[in-house]
Amino acid sequence: MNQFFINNHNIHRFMLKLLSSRAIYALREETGNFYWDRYTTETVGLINIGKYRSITSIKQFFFPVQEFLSDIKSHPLAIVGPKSCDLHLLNTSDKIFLEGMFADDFYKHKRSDALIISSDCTDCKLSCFCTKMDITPYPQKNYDINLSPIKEGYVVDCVSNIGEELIRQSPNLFQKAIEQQLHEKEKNRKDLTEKVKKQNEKFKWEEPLMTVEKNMVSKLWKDEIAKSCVECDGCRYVCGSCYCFLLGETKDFYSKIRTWDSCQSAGYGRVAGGANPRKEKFQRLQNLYNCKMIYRKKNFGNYACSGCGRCIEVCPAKIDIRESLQRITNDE
Amino acid sequence: MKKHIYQPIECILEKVIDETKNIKTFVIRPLEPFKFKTGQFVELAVPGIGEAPFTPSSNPYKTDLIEITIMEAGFVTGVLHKMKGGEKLGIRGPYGTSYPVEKFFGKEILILGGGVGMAPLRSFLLTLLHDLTNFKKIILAYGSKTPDDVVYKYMFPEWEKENRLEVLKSVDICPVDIQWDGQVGLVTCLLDHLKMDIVHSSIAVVCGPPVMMKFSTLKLLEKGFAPANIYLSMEANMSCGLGKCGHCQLGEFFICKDGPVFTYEQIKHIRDPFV
Repeated sequence: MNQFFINNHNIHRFMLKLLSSRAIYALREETGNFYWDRYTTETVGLINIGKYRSITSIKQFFFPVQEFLSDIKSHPLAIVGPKSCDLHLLNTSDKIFLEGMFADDFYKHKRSDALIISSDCTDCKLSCFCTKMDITPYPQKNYDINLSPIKEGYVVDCVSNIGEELIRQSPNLFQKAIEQQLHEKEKNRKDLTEKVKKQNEKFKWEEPLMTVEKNMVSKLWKDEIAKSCVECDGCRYVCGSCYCFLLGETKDFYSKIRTWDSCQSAGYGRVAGGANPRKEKFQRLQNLYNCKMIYRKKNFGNYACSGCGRCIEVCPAKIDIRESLQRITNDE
Repeated sequence: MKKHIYQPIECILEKVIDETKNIKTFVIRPLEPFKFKTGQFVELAVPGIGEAPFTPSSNPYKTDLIEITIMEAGFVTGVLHKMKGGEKLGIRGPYGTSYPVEKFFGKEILILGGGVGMAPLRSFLLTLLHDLTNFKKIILAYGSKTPDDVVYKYMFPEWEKENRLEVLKSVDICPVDIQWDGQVGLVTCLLDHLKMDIVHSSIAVVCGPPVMMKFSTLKLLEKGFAPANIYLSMEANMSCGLGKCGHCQLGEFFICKDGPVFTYEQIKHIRDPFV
């Protein structure tokens, strides 16, 4: 794999060049958090790739909160700054929406319209636990171009044809990376991986699938873990692998409308007549852990959790998935 | 030209047949060719109101008119039940797995239905009746709450005349002033005296309310049916029908694409699948 170097000045020229053919969404920092924002020719110089993952995941670019399903329109865009955890979560939504008997036309178009320029994490949040999910805090796949920040700029690598082509088209912006730069990149990666591992040292569980499967009968689900849940659905909204939606009718016979839905709400599984496979709050919470750690792993080979910790951060009841797994492990 | 996978086909509601006080059969004519296999389901849309999944109750060999038997149970079905005929509806599908009819050739088949669960089973039975010589024997065991709640009353006399088809009926309760020629008791009571070669060549196909499916399955297992020979229609609230929206999940399965027809063997590892 060819690795390049781009300096801090040229990265903005590169973004400006990208803007001629696609919209750019990158991060904006606000009180230590990163939010997605659209950048224009006027603001492109301020583009931020973020130190760690954003508050919301990137699924919204392919699967908006609410979407009118009618005509398919093309909107080429570049998403700049998603992190390793975000990219891992795309494995789940890609399998759901792109595979099976029929691919979802809307997701498919948006996904292929998007150029993904990811970046290494240079720091982590307290809720981050990607290393516990066997994921590194630097992207290894699902991106077009990846930026690894070093002192003077970025080490750049690309795994897709479109990424390579873009770099080829700007020979004056990119240089071949030198040994020292690659060394700095590797050191940063190693250091941060260690930091994430260290902050999660107290969580001793290892195989999430086995941990959940073995402890399904634990009374703690009902008596403790689910007890404080206030059913706000926040964790499902920020989760980057949640793909559930509700389909509705519109005034137009041939169109539909879809909105995100949450398995944590009581009406989610209910059928006409009132029967409900998951009546109790703890059953819904168990289903969530099963979905992320067992079912999707069985279906697609990947956990539907990348340890991004968004669900931990958003929870008003302070339910921490890492701690929940630890509690049921201790209960064995 | 179909623009996207969620787009329905237009159809006209030709006729509404009253079955019981809360169950009606809707005869619809799709305006484009629409074929389904018995056991598969469709999404029926009331334009501007909502969509719900149903399994057609008609003979799949008949493609111009599709019959769907619906119990009034919620919002969409409530609107449907007010319809008289002539209304425009939308249909999507068919989705999911079907009853593997050819696998049943040469076997004895028990069709076990409860209440409106008879709907997909009627489609299955009509498929079998298309050429009865393919099967050794068919037993239709049907249970409903009261004699008034029996669906397809007008078809039973015909079925009772068929040679290779044995019809057993039960009702949970029979008011004293109503004549009833079947048994009185839960539908599982019909399984007590089955004349079938259960262990060697029998298949059971079950559909009904969850509690009926649960106890029927337990009883069938007790009678010696192998889990792989018990076919269950596990319909849930399939919303997209395409294995995407997540609503119908049952363990690691999406009922809409991995089902709705499952063998008990496939789902027995799931804790309490009948809810």
